[in-house]
Amino acid sequence: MSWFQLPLLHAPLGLPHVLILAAALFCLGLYGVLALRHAVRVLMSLELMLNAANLMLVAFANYVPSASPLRGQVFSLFVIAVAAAETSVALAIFLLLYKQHQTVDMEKVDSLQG
Amino acid sequence: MGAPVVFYVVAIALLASAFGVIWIKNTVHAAFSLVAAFGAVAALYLVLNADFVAMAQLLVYAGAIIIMLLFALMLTQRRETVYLGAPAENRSFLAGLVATLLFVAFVRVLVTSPWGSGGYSQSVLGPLLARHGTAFIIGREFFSTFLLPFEVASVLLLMALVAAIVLARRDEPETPERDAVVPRAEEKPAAGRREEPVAAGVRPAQDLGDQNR
Repeated sequence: MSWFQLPLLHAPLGLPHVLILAAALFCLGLYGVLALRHAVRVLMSLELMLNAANLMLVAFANYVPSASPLRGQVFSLFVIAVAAAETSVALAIFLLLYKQHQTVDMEKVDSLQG
Repeated sequence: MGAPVVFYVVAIALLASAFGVIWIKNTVHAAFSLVAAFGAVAALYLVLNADFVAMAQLLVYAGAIIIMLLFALMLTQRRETVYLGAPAENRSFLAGLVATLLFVAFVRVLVTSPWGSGGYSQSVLGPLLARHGTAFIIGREFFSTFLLPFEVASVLLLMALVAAIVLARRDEPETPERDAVVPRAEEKPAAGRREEPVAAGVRPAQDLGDQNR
């Protein structure tokens, strides 16, 4: 099977479409995490990546038959809860960073570089 | 999936707003674009028979997390953060390469896996949801099978709340601890702005002119 000989355009709308969309969203978020400089925007891109993972979980719960359905949705709710906790702690860390260094530029925060 | 048109419209809106989160210069406008992205993901959840998750997405992400992000942006504003909107020039190419290669790898895995075929295009939740809503089944799962993770998640949220307050509270009386950081910062040539009277909450007047950057 060749690389981009996707059956997507002929298949009825379903799981592969959602997975491709979630993969694109994940890679956009990854680019943001790696390339952006503002710490809060890095966090925003991280939220995009988490949303992509959640989208995949919900899509699998919807399309793949299993003995215990809706487990994927339950897991995505746990992901949402952990993401909320992570965001609050990360924003507190950013405020502390701003107090100490007067910047939120990821390029300038290199205190651990030695 | 019901209407393909709905999926494609929402997918295009989601990708466009995700592009906006990364490439809009103004950070507050990028946060609003992130609201649009969260709303599009919630719409996709509705299409995928996950109404409870869609409502949780709207409440937690588009409500609480965006508010926290906007507060953090408001509290960390300075004039020097104007240029911080764009991606870093020295890392942009490499990051784009990594992201593109990862996307190609994802598509390759999907094509070679059984999920890539057209076999999974019917929702398996239809007959189940004809009897109960998703909130019923998810609640039953939370309080039977996933009771321990549920309680651990609540403790985790409490810990995050306390940790955020402890980290971000103002500690003016503890000046000796803050002075311990100053010599490391003064070694750098660009550290002269530490002497500016930028206490927490007191901002120079000219910084108020260019907010939202």
